[in-house]
Amino acid sequence: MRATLVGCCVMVGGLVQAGGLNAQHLHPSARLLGFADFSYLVTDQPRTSGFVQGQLVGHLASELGDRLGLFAEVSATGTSAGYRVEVERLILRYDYRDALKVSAGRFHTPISYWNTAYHHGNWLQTSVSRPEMIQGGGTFLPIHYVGLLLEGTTLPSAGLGYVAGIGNGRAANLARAGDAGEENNKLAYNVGLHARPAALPGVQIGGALLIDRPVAEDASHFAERIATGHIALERHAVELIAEHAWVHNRSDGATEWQQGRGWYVQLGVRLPDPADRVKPYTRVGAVHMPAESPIAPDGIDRRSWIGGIRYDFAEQAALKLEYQRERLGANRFNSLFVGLSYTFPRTASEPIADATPASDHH
Amino acid sequence: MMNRFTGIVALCAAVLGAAGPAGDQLDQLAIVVHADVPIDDLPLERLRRLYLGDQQYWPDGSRVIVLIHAPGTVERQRALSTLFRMTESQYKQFWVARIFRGETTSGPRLVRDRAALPVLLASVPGTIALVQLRHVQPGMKVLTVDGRQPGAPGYLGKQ
Repeated sequence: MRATLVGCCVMVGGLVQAGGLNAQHLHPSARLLGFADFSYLVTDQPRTSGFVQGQLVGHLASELGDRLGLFAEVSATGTSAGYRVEVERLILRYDYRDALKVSAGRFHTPISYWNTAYHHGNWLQTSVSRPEMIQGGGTFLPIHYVGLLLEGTTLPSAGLGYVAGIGNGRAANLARAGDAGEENNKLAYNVGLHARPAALPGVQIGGALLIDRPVAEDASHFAERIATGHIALERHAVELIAEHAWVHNRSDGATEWQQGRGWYVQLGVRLPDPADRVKPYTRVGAVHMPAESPIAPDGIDRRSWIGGIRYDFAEQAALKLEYQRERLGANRFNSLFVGLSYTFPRTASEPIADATPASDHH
Repeated sequence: MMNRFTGIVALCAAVLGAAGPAGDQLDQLAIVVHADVPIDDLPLERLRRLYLGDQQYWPDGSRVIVLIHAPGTVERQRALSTLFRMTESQYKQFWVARIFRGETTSGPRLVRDRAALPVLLASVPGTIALVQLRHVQPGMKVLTVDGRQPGAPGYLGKQ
């Protein structure tokens, strides 16, 4: 475990450039990104307050050829028993055309906008916390899956994109993906569409469907159908993200579907120049699943409202102050976060093009 | 025909360069591609899609390789203000997010030395770059944008 953590830290400790770019040495190239966050939490929830070292995330993107790419993501999360290291994503992708790309590996399930846009890397998202319907460790939506994915874009004026995946459904631990194989030989299927119209920069509208037959924690089987829809406007000055999910489960032998819903709306508006490093934001959201649902035998009933301020005090680091008011069933809780989130290294965004002739590399 | 066109462009650039900077600096940039890129004209919105990674392959299936100048250069500033409509910080954050989401393995390649650009454009298939008109050399393939020639008003959109 310690060796793995050390290896992870070394991996994310700096920028890797495997070769310059010239006529004969275009590939391979690799870039590392790291994300981390740190916060202080005060809460009247039945949990401890105090400093929280968030996830350390290492992300590798590598061009293995003109059409072959690799994505890998590893996280280290602090727990009471030490750091838990996970392979979050490991994807090999072959690009046939813009309209057709094929991937194999472990993915963020493309069932939710937030799940694919902000899954890890607190610096990328405006808020400290994640929406209720996509909480880490939660069971409402399957957030990872292992399998195959087709994706592509077409119709440039509409920026139409699609995904279609097949893979292992939920594991016996319903919060996790089927990393060790499909639990009951019933694969999950996922399709999604989105549009990013050229006439509306920063706008994405889309939806997705997922069908699975997982095995519940009590070893019973159930059918699952999930549908989601989202609209996102993300520009420097304003951010508006709204998403809604319908999750239907039916245990084998039951006649009725258990119907759950989750949704959120997040708004952030950056202050005008010269205070444009400051972005106040707010979010409301809820998730509800009836009791005796296979994915939540005790039911889920959470609502929350957050209000906060993000201050980008450096190009790659942000300070966040966030107040959260939660209703968990009949109970109400208040939490205050003061958080620091950042990404590294500084020059990770651009590989270098070099006109050095190939012979000079020998 | 293209050699004659690029020769005329180079001559105009030399004349303009000798006369000193004149007119809108934006209109003195040209989109230059590798000779094998199978297009002669690009709609402005398509150009933006190329530079922002929404389109990663040319119509013939070859890979789009976007070359971008170092921060602080005229070419980069114009690309940021007109094509990307972003500040330098927003541009970097955009690419960090794009790569993080797995939408691409790589963004535009940074060209540290402007003198290296002609070599790269000539030798690396699929390359595209913004080049100052006075630096366009004979033999370079220059694209029109929405049918407009480099130097024409609105060639790269509104400033």
